[in-house]
Amino acid sequence: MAEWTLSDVERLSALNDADRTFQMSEDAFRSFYELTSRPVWLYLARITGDRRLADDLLQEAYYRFLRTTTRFESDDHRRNYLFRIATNLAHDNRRRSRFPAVPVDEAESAVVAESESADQVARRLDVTRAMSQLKPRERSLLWLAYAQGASHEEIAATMGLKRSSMKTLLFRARRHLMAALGSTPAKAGRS
Amino acid sequence: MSALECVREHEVVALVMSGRWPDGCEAELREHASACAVCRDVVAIAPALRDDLRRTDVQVPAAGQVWWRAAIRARADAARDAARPMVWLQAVTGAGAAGLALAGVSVVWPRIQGVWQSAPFGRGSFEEALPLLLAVGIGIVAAPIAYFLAVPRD
Repeated sequence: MAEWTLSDVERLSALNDADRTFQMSEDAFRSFYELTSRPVWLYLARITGDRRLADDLLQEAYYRFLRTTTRFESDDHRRNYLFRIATNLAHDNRRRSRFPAVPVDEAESAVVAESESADQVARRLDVTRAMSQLKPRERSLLWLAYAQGASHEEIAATMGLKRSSMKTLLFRARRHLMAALGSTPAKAGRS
Repeated sequence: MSALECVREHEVVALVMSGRWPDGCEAELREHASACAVCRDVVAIAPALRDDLRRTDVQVPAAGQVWWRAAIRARADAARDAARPMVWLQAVTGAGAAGLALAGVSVVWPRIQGVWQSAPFGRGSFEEALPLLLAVGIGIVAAPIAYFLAVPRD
């Protein structure tokens, strides 16, 4: 029969309590997840261009978020911190794997809402396709600024960039997207 | 105002985010947006990205599933962290044992040489038999260590 020492019991207890080190309760997490998971997944999918990778990075992002010891001042702070984790994960993954820009799954983007006109759908697909031709950092900037509606301060904090360089970086990213929009095959075909 | 920015950009973005662009805003702002290079780009990009965020079909895992996976992983990480001091202790013990063995061999080395030369089978020189003796010695020391490392421990 195995003999149990006090240190064994303490160690097992620590293992069972591992999720108590999370920075929020399960109920609070469920609420937070319902609000943030969809935008975070879409953000990851758009900047990596890979749905499966977005699935993996989403799980990893929430794990790191739960394990953080950072004290959050507000819900916005909490949400921005999660986006920062997601941004870092995507960029780390890109540095490691050097994944190429994968064409966006148009079937996924082409879900049409009843209130959406054909022009709106076409425009949305053009922009999505053009976004996939940009550098990942430019995709992040544009997505945070114009899909999430984040302020320059929030984008700078999320991406670990200087607030003062935001205007220039966003300007360049917008110009590159507009140039890519001008050269997208679908648009050329329509016009 | 520089060519890089427009003071009304945030106003335009806010209207797009709230779904009030272009019908729910003043005509004056729409005129500005059509004349301003920055705002023109913004209204060409932002509504499409906003629609992409709102309308794209996204299947994310359930919150409970993400929580459960995180809890499992936290336990695995805690187990690994708890085992780390044991691994260090084993390494230090192994290094100490190896050092003691070497010290012991160096102390008894002259006796080994003497025993070899007086033994009936010690016909060849001690130097000739040295590689064989060393191989046997290393085998005796390494075999238990290899066994310890090869056999999985729960």
